[in-house]
Amino acid sequence: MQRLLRRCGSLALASLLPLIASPLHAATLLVVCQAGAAVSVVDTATLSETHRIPLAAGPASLIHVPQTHSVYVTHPDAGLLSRIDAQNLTNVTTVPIGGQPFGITADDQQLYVGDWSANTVRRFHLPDLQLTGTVAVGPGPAGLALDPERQELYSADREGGTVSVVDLVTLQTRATIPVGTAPYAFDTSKPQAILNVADVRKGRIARVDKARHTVTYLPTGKMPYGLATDTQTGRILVANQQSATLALVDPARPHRTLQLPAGTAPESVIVDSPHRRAYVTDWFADQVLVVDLEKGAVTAAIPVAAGPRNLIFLPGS
Amino acid sequence: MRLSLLKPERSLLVAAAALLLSLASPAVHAHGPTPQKAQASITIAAPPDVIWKLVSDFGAIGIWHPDIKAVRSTGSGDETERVLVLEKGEITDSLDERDDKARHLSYRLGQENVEAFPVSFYTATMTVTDAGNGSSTVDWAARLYRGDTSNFPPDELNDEAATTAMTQFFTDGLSGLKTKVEAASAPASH
Repeated sequence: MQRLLRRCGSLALASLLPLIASPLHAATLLVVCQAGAAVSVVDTATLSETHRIPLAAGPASLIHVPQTHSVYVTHPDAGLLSRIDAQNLTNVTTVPIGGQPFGITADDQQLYVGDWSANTVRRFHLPDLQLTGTVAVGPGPAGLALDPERQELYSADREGGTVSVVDLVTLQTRATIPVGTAPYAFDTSKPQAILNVADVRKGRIARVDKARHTVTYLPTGKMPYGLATDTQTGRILVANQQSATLALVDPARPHRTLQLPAGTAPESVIVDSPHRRAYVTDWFADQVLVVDLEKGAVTAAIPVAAGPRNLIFLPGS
Repeated sequence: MRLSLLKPERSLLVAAAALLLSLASPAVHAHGPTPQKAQASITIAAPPDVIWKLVSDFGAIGIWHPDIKAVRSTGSGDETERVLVLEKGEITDSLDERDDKARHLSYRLGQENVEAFPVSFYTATMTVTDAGNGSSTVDWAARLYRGDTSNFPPDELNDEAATTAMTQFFTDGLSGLKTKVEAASAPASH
């Protein structure tokens, strides 16, 4: 009996462990909604939208910077950059930076913002948003990613079919790597030796070896707009917008890809690996889909503001 | 660099260079950062299979769409393309997927022509569903980008012009499809 109790105890403890270990417990989701001109705030415990943060027109991409307690949002059509106070999720300041700011990434001290039509990435110092440099990249920079260890910034050049590699120290382009037709989004789950980028026209992931600059490919589906890695299984989750599926791609077994039906136009995806969940923005249906990674199915849909494009976790409150 | 520190002739030079640059860069891009939505649907008094037969024939859209003067279709399977001859010029669609079981078609704009149709890129889907009692619903939807994807598009190439044109194309097409199908399936009058 005692043995049984002990076993139950350790089982219970084991099942609690992922919750304790996960920094994402009770995380908040921030969903940027372009047509609705807002960020929808979603509680992952209740799976519901708690409130909306109204923004200037056409917000597209967002990044959380813990050091400045801020979430920064780009507005490509209006040439604006918004800062949301990450502590109260209410206060917003918006500054005109001009151009067509789209992709955004950051480290502790600098914000990097792509300009879709000027084919550049601009660097802004934090928290004062002073412009400290500009680097030319390929045509139509869409997604951006950082590797702090390699001191490199990557730009997915949507109109040029290349990935630009920028040296963060000199702010110069180190390499321009042809990867396909229309590289759009990076897997920014965590920096790894291989950089995964979704090619929306080719319907595949280009896998760029950061050291060698060689490229291999994994087929995904039609119009892959977003991707993220499930760190527990190593699978890459891909939102195939035109196929209306979420592909679960195992890089070791590319012919065994699972295609889960995922709304009407899945756009971007993030993974909460410890809780075995993924969240997918369904652009056309104005909702966020909740995917149970164990069941391999969409288990809930959360209504959000119109035109959800990108989403991030805001860790534990 | 702060502009106010520049000598007047230097800032004129900068302004001239900026103007030259803006003239040199193409006004129209194939794609932009801000997608728009268009959708339309219609109920037709005919079983879904009857409608799907017409809709799924990618190159035969000219049979039922009143805004299309002619269609030239090439290729087969996933390589199928159709050139749509519209009133003001031609655009080309390319087929992505045809799912007979789900009665679902997806395709994209292959070659744009913003003079003929003020949209620089779209992906679209058409779905036929059973609405019961021998009738069906046809849904047509697209994600599209305005004709001029720069931040200062002329009125005829802005988001509104693009969405209006796409929606009009769908509603005209769906009513054309309804007319065609219902006329064909109506009992002959004596």
